[in-house]
Amino acid sequence: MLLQQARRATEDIDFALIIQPGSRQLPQQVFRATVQKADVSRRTSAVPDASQFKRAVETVAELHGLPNDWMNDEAAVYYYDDAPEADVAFWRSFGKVLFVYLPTREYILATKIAAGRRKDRGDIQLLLRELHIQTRSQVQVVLDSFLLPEAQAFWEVQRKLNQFFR
Amino acid sequence: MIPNPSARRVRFQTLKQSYQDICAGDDPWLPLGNLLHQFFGYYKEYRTELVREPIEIPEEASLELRRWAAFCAAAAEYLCKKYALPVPAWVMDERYTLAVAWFDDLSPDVLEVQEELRETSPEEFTRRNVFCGSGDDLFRNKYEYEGRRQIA
Repeated sequence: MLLQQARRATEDIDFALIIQPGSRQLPQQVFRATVQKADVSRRTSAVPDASQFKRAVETVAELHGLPNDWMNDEAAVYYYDDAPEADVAFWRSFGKVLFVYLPTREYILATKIAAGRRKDRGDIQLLLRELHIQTRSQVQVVLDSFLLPEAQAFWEVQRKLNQFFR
Repeated sequence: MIPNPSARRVRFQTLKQSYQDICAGDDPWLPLGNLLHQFFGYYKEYRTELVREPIEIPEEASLELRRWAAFCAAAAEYLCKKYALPVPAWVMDERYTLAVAWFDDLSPDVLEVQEELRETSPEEFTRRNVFCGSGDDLFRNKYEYEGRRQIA
């Protein structure tokens, strides 16, 4: 029903989402029913104007007494700005309205390093291990694949890498 | 007032609850991350309530748990000041100050690292002997972020 309501609110536009797993969701890439812990963003090629997606989220919130940020899509702006060429694989669809994609570990690593918050440290360490990345030059290849040069400078990724490669 | 759980479907994750979760064995940044999501997003109108209650340090608390207790008190003070909220009195209790400095880094014994953490950690943390890096790296509020191009 939520999807039907969302569809009505958005003039029959299909949505494609990229789900970025949070802490402890990384090893198996298992996603919980709730989206509280996951960052969700629109796939840029499917939805050039994010305002319609936001309207759908707000409509469902109104109908079901949820806060407007019941769906955590706050990460989307980072992806649009900093890592617009997401490397994703189709996961599943819901009601032929919502199409969900999972990013590769490399893409997750690049965006986690850009964020570089204290809470990202464990995820970054795990991803470095899983991707068998042992040197700074190896991780730089991943960063250069996804993060725009100006984004790397803005988010001080070299400083953030220091703690992992001293 | 604490939000009615039936009215909003996200469980209220206070700082006190977060510390209890840490004591129960959770990776500290899981409950703290949930708290921050609520502080910045879902329950931003209840920020005062989220940090109001004092955290309770177990009698036989390990060094690790005492460190996180100091961190939680410092975080409460830092966030309250940043968002112009009343600072709860409990955070000033001396129990939440460490006797020995804690450098929260993957290489905590490297002098260069310690120096950097001393320079960048907020005063609310250093006063409690907690050296953990800049407030922005700890508590960046992505709910307020409008995009790199808007603020660059």
